[in-house]
Amino acid sequence: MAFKFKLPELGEGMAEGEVASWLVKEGDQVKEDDSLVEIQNDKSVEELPSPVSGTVKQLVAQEGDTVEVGDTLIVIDDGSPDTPDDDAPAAKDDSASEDNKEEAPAEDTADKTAAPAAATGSADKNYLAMPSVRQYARDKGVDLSTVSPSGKHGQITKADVDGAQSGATSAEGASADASTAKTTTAEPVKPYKSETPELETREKMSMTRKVIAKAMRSSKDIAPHVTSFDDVEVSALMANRKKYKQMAADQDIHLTFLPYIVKALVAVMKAYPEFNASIDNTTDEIVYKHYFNVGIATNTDHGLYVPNIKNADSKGMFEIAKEITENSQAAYDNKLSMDKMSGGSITISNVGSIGGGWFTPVINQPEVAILGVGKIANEPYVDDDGNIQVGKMLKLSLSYDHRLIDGALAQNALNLLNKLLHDPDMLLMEG
Amino acid sequence: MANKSVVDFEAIKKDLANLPKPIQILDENSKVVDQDAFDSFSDDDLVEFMKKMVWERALHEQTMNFSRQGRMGFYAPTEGEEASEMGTVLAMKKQDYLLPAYRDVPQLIQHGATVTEAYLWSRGHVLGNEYKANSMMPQIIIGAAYDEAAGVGLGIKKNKEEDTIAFTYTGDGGTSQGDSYEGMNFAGAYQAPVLFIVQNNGFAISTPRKKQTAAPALSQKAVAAGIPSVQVDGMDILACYTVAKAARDYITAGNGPVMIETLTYRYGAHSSAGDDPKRYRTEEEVKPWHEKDPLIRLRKVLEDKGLWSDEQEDKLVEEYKASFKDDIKEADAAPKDEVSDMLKRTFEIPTPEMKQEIEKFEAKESN
Repeated sequence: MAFKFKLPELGEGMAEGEVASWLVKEGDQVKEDDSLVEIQNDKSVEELPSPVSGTVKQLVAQEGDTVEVGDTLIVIDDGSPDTPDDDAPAAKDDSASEDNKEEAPAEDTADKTAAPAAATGSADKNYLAMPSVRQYARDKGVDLSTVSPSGKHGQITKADVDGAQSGATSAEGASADASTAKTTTAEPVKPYKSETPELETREKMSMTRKVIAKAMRSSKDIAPHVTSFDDVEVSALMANRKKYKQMAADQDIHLTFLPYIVKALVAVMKAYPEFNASIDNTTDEIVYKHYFNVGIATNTDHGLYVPNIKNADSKGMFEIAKEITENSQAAYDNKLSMDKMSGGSITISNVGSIGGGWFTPVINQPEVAILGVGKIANEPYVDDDGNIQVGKMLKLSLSYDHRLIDGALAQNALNLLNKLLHDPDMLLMEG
Repeated sequence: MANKSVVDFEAIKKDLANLPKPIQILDENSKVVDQDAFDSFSDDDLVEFMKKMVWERALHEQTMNFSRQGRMGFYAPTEGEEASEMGTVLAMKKQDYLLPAYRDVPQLIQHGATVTEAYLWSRGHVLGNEYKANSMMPQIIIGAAYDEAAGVGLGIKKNKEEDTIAFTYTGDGGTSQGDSYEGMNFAGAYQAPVLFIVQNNGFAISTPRKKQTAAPALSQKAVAAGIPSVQVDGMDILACYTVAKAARDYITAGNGPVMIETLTYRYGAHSSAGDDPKRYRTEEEVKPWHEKDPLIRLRKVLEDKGLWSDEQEDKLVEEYKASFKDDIKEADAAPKDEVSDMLKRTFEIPTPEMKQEIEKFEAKESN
C-alpha cells in the first residue's frame, strides 16, 4: 500500500551513494517534487525530489548509510493500491538466475577444461570500479584483479578493496600467473571476409560451441602436442568381451571395449606417473595426481562433454562399463554435474564406434595426454611365430604434452598399453 | 640578414582581438539599445517570447526532477540558455531541417517533436528517435551535427527546396572539435544553405572557454571557412531571434552558410550524468550571469508595459509542469523496445545478414 523510492543512478556508472541528510521525517506529508533527501555520490551532492505525494511511512536508510543504486531509501504511503514496481524486479532477478543455471554446466565444463586459458583471460579482464575506488585501491596497493566484487553489476566497492587487502600476498601470485600466461596469448582475431556473402549464411555459435572452440584453441596454444601412433592385435580382447558380454547384459550392463581401455590406461598411469599429471605454469611445478579419473569424450547433439570415471583403479570392469553408460546418458540429457567433468587424469577419445583409424586428438586441459581410439579392423598381422594371419587391429593415437612427456617415455607407455590390450589377462596382473 | 621587420605579428594578433560589440537589443538592465529593432516586435510577440522561455525553464526544472527520481536517461540541463535556444529556433520555419546536439531538446520540441518523444529519446527508446518534425535525433557526438548539417544543406540545394535551410547547434567545446570546422568548411565550399549556431555557454563540461582556444571569439572560427559570422548577446531573446531571422533570410537568398555565436551561460551541471559544477567554478563567477538572466530581462519590459504578472507566470509554470507529468506517463506507457525495432531502423534497405537477424528476433519476440 505504499511507494518505495529507490536510489536512482544519479551519475554515469554510479553504484552507490551516501545518505547525507534527510529533509523529511516519518509522518511528514510530502508533495510530488518536494525534496526528500540529500545523497552524496562520487561526484556531487544531489537533492532527490519525491516522485509521489503522500505520507512518509518509513525512512529505510539512515543518515551516513551507504546505499546501493536500486535499494529502497524511503517508503511513502501514497494511497496506491499496489506496489507492482516492488515485486517486478525481484521476479526478474529470479528468472535471470535461472537462465544462468541453465547455461552453467556447459560453460563451467569448458572453463574447467580451459583452466590455463582462463588465467590468460583474467589478465585482460576489465574491472568495474569507480575512479575513486581505483584510486583507493592504488593507494592501498591492492591489485583490482584480486578483488571479488560485491556491488551492483559486479562493481568493486571500497569495502571489497578493504576485504582483499589481507590477501595481498596471493595477489602477487595471481599477477605473476597472468604475466606468464600472457606470453602465450594467441594472434589477434581477423574477421572472415567473403566475396560471395549471398552464397553463405551466418549463424551465431552456441554457448557450448564457443566454449569448445576456446578450450581447443587454448589447449593447442598452451601444450606442444606430439601424437604417437600404434596398432595392436586384439583378438584375445574380443574373445574376452564376447565371453562376458552376456553376463554383463544379464545385469543390465552394456560391456564395450572401453572399460578394458580404461583399465589399461590406469595401469599405464601407475607405471608412468607423468601421464597422470598437470603443469602449474605459475610455479613451474609438475602436479602428480594420486587418483585415477579417466575421462571419456562424449559427443552429443548439443556439444562435446568429457565426464570421467572416478577412481577407476578401484572399480571392476562391470562397474566401469555401467558408469560409462550412465555418464553418456547424462551428457545426452544435459544433466552432467560439474563434479563429473572436473579433476580428470587422462582422456579417451573414441571414434571407433563410427569408424576411422588414426587421428591427432587435442589434449583436454589441464591434463597432459589423450588417447585416440579407432575402429577394430580385419588386417594382415604377423604373429609372434612369424606367420601372417588375419588380425583384429585396433588403431591407437596417443597425444601428449611434450613439455612434460618426451617421445621415448610416450613410446614406452604406448608399448605397455599395447601389451595390456593384446593380452587382457595381463590386466589382472597389472591393473 | 635583414633586420627590418616586414611583418608585425604582434599587431596582427592585437587586431584579432579587435571585435565588434555583440549584437544586443535589450541590455542587461532591460534598457532598449536598438529602438528600431525593438519596435519591429508587437506586444503579442513579446508575450509569446516570454511564454516560450518560461516553458523552457519549466521543462528544465521538471525534467531534472524526473532525472533525480530515476525516471530519465541522459539529459542536459538548459537553465540559462532559454534566450539562445528559443530565440534562434523561433526564427526558423517548419520546413527547415534541425540537426540538434544533446542540449537542444527544447528546440527539438519547439520544432515539432513531442515532449514524450524527447523523454523516450533520453531513455534510449527507439520511438524517441522518430519525429514528425524535420529533425534528426539529438547528436551525442560533440560537433558531429555540424557535419550532418552540411550534408543536409547540400541535399536541400541539390533538390532545390525553396525557402528551406538546415540549422544546427553545438557548444563552445564543440568548436574545438575537428568535426565542426569540417562541417563549416564543406558547407562553405558548396555554399550550402546552413545556419551554424554556437551556444557559447562558457564551459566544455569543466573546461572554461578561455582554456579551449586562443581565438578571441568563437565566431572567428567561421572566418577560415569563408563564412560570415557574428556574436550575439545570448541572454537577449530579441537579439537572438532578430539575428537568426536575418541569417535565415540571407541564407535562403542563396548566399551560402552563416554562423552565429550566442554568448550565454549554463547555470547548472553539464549533464545529468553527474558533474558537480562547484568543482570547476565559483559561485562568484556564476552570480553576474544570473543578473543577466534572459527571463528577468524580458519580464521587466513586459511588466513595465503591463503585459505580464507573477500570477500569470506561476499559473503557466504549473500548467506546463502538469503537462510534462502527463508526458512522462505517456513515455512510461510506450511499448517495450524490441531488438528488431532497432535492427529495422539501421539501414533503409537491410543487408541479407540483417534480414536474417530481423527474422530471428521477430520470431523470438512473438513468443
